[in-house]
Parts: sequence; structure tokens; C-alpha cells
Amino acid sequence: MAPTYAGDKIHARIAGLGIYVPDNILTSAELAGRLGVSEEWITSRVNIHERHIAVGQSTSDLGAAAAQRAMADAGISPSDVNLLIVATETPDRLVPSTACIIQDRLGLVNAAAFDLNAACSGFVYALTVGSQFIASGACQNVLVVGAEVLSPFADWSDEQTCILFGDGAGAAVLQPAGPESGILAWNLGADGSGKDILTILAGGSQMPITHQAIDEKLHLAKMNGQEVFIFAMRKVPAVTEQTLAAVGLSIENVDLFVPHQANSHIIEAITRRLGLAPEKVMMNLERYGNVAAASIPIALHEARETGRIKPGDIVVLVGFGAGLTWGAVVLRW
Amino acid sequence: MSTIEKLREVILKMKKKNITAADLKPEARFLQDLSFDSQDQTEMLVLAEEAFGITVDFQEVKNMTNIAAAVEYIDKKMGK
Repeated sequence: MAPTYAGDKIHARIAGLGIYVPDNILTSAELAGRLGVSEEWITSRVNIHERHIAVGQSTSDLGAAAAQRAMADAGISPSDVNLLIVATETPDRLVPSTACIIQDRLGLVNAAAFDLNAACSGFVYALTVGSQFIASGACQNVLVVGAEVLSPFADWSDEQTCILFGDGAGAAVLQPAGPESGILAWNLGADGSGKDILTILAGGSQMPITHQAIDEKLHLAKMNGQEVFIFAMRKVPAVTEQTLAAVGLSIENVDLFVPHQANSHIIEAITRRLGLAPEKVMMNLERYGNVAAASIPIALHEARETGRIKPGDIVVLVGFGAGLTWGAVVLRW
Repeated sequence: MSTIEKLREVILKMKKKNITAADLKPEARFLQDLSFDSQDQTEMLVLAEEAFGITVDFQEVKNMTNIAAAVEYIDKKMGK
């Protein structure tokens, strides 16, 4: 069974948050026009009204801007950061990591830096990995970034998938906290037998980019939406309950549930299954689309900015996506 | 509790507008009578997995049209 853990003596808390999204907005009305469908066709399917699309900016540009804001929010300087983890499925380059590019951009001279690819679960994975460096006492400031420029990997002629994606970044600074607050429990898991459910086939060592691969659009994201829905429904509620139970909590104790912003149908179905009141569920995908590893920090940041989280609240973050991967963290804010 | 009674509970938990237990007769068709789309049907079946302790093979339920067919499928999976 995939690990659930709640034994850290030193908890990691989120000491700062920051987000960055490109200025350029693509509305569903405009996208509908390009695809030859109605705006309502898009919004009734996914409840996404607009998404930000990067123009001339890469994942590191978005991630660095979000990271800078998170550091300012936490009141730390670049030299304070001991570790930078960038969760992304759309790195600037295959080599080196986007984390190294951001490390250079921000002058994180004292930080180790690496990328982590767990797709839409990436931010929860990275937060968990970072928390373990805090728990061990090895690091005092871990910078966790979820950043994506998905737009170049969307098939803009496939109305089933391109309506979903957006570009953006969110970042969090982790610092040590007392035993009562911060990340109380986590769960990470994977099921690689679902590797073909959501994938970009070409561009890696298995299928290098060729003219033929491009002609067949194999360098773009392919998704089986129904399989993703089945996986999310089977996994997310169970993982949420399991992670809460690890610290003696149940769904009634949750003040805010922040799921990966995949699409509104998935989130609503999960919410119903968990028996959560809609006001306890953070949803903002109507303005950002599905931003993969960036969706949870963008939603969490908005929740904090709009007063939906107060100190002492139990907050649950749950990611799920390609891999297949999933992850949950239970935090006391 | 019979399979259909339990399935009714599952469907009512989905809180679909305007659906009451009385609507969930064996002959009620998902698409035409209950206004289910494919995601609603998938949601119902995943919830049924948990409620009945079964694993649904979604290839096998592609052409499932009404409540009676769902009950029959669930009973088969439960070895009834």
C-alpha cells in the first residue's frame, strides 16, 4: 500500500505563498469561436470561462515570478533558501532542470535544486518531499514551486482536451513549525499501469521527436477523460479519508478542501462522495483552467487572500493526475 | 436491503436535480428518463463499487441503459 505518514517530530508549515499567471487571457468565448463550438458547449462541460496563456514566456519565467512573491511573503531573502523543488510536467528543457534555471534567475546561491514530475499531483508531491527535509532538520527554508506552460502541449484542434488547459505558477515557502501546526500527515501514491491514460508520447527517449511524430501530433497531450474521472472518483475520496484518519481526523474536521482543479464535474462528484459542503471546497478553475502542478497553490493562495483560511484551520490539499499519481496533505494552518 | 434499494440510495446521494426515489423504477432509462450524461453514469457506478464492494469493468457497462440493467450487472458482480 502507498505510504501514509503522520510521524514527523518537526512539522513543515507554509510560511509564504505567491502566484504568477501570464497577462494574456483566452476566454472560452474566443476559444469557442476558433473551435467552431458555442461558449456554452465549453462552460457546461468544464465550467472554465477563461485561462491565462503564456506568450513568449516559459515555465521558469512563471515559476520564478511566483517564487519571488512567495519569498517576499515569507520575509526571506534568496540566500536563505536551502532547497528548491520545482513540480512541473512542462519543463523549459529536458536538461537541465527548470529548478536550476529558476535557481540562477533568483540567485538562490545556497540552494540545492531539482525538478519533480508527478504531473497534476506534483505540488503535493513536492510539498511532501520538501516537508521531509524540514522534518529531518536539514533545511530551514524550502521553496516549492508548481509551474506549468501547458499551452504548447495542447492540441488546439482537439476540443475534448484543449478547452481544459491553462498556464500559471504558484509557490510556497516551507519552514519548521511547532508540533500542532503545519503538515500533519501526507499520503503519496502511484499506479503506473495507467501511464497511457494521460500522456505526451513523443519528445523523450522512448519516442524522440521526428517529423512523423509531429505530423501525428504525438508531441501533444492525449487524454482519456473517462478513465481520469473513474480514477479520480475511486482514489481521491479514499486517500483524503485515509490521510485524515492518520491524525485522528475525519471529513467533519475539514475547514477547507483544496483539490487539484481538474474540471468542475470531477471536483463536484468527489465533494458529494465525501459529503463536504460546497463552501468548504475551493474552486477557481473557472478563471484559470487546469494548470496541472500549479493549480493547487493558485487555489490555496486565493483561499488565503479571500479570507477562507484562518489560523488553526484544517486544510486538505489533494492532487491527482497523470502517472497515474495521487497525493494528499493535511495541514493545520 | 435489496440491490435496487441500495442502488436508489447511491443515486440519491448524487443529488441530481429533480430525481426522487419514485423515479428510480427498474425501467427508468438513464439518458432519457433520468437525464444522466456519461459522467453521471460513471459517478453512479464508482459509488456503486464502494456500496456493493464490487469492481466495475467499464468496458462491460458501455451499453447499460436502465436501472434494471444496472441491478442485473451489480448482482452478477456480487455473484448472486
